Amino acid sequence: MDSLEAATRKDTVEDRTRYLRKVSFLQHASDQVLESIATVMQFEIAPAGHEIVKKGDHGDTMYFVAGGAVRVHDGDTNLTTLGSGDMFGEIAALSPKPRTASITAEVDCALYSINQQLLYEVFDREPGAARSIIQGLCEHESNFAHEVSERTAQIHKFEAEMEIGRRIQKGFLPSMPLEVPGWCIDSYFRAAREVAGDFFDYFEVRSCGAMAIVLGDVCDKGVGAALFMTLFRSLIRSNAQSFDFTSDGNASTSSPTYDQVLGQTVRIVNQYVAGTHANDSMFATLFFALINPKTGELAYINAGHEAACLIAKDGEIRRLDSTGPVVGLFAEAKYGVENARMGEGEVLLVFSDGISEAKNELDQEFGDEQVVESLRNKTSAEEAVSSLVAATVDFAGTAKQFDDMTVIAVERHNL
Amino acid sequence: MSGELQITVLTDAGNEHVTVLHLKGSLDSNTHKELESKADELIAGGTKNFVVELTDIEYMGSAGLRALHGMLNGVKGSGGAVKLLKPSDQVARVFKTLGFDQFFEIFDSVEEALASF
Repeated sequence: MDSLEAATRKDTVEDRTRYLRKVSFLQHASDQVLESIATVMQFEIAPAGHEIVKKGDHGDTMYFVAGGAVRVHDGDTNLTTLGSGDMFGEIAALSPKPRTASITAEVDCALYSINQQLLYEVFDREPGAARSIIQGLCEHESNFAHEVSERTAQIHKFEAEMEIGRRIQKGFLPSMPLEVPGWCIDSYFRAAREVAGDFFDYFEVRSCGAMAIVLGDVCDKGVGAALFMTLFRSLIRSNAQSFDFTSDGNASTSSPTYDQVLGQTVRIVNQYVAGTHANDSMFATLFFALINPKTGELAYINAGHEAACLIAKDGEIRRLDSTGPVVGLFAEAKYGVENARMGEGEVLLVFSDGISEAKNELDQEFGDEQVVESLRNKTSAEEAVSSLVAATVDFAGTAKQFDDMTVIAVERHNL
Repeated sequence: MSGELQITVLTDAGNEHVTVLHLKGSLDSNTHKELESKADELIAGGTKNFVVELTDIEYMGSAGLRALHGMLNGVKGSGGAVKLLKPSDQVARVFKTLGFDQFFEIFDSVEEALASF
């Protein structure tokens, strides 16, 4: 700092004029104009970390960077870095507008400053000064417009990539109905962003003659959650269906129990993610059920997920609570398997916390009780899903959707 | 749901082998990095045993849970531990629902927590 200050303080008007000649903003100014500015500008030292201007403040001083580097930022978002020969603060110095960004010294910096009054005095003395400054501003504006155009193109490219990601991710959700006589499934899925951390799935597990119903919610949102969503969904399906085949690829003749399929699948998925991706600390809550379509017998693991709802014919709602911790964090986790039975005309509905924790404009939460209320006396999967979704959307009103919203319901028909 | 997070580090709480972190505010997607940075700094400096006091945490999101898991991961290799102190009702509910209470010891008093190491 001392050497920087000493070196710059020794400069003469001639040295300063030579410096200003290298400032692109002043490239149209005559030697006389540059000398006039050099005569009145002040030397300043900004120590590393010092906020030289603050966004929103009113100021009347513009600066030239003579040495070091400054960071242009909006809060924690860095916009660019400026170095020797660059200039900042001209908008506030030449207009009544407040500062449009904050500027902080990245290292110890040498600056030249000139305030509005001194600048206007130069304009009065030197007829060419205002014209050269206007030319400099116009070029600055033109460069800025070019930069905005380039950034807009980058954003469009990024949005196109996200759209591809969204379409690929959609392929991880089931699109065909599960054709099981006497049963039907309905679902609802609305991502909070382009890509989601929620997923649902249904498929057959032939080895034990069951249909599988899955709803998972990966923590966090956006691309990271979406990548893990595809991992969890694929691991669950492939491990559960691995029981269908022998090691040489033929159909398996052994028939595992529901407990074995559920327990082994969740254990393998949990240990794989907790072991391989330990440093990411990513996890999913999961509801995974196997249902015997002939008898309605149901076995499930609820890994830290919202309690599912089993809607009985008489309107009673039984909750299928957590039987173990979240999946993907703790390799030593144990998961219990619980059992239930679905009679004819009964509905099993599973939802994600994007439903129960949906917020309205007053930041109030929809809540689990409202979920249950909206499901009372619903006797079909379609009716239950549409009633719950309508109640949630109605409650949220115009509030921005905060989390992915997913519902899946399975119904055993009346025969 | 977001807010500020204040972290107070106490190294003289009564057990020289344990660092107590008092957290205040909201531990969520906006603030979890502050806890992660502080924990990384302390672990790099040799700390391996933590008591994290959660009484004044008004809101804990999944990002906060991930930060606590990251701390546990960070000290596990050196035989250290992360124990939790007096979670608020909201936090205790989240721990129970997600099964975190099975993997973090939770205490009602700092004396008990410090004596457990």
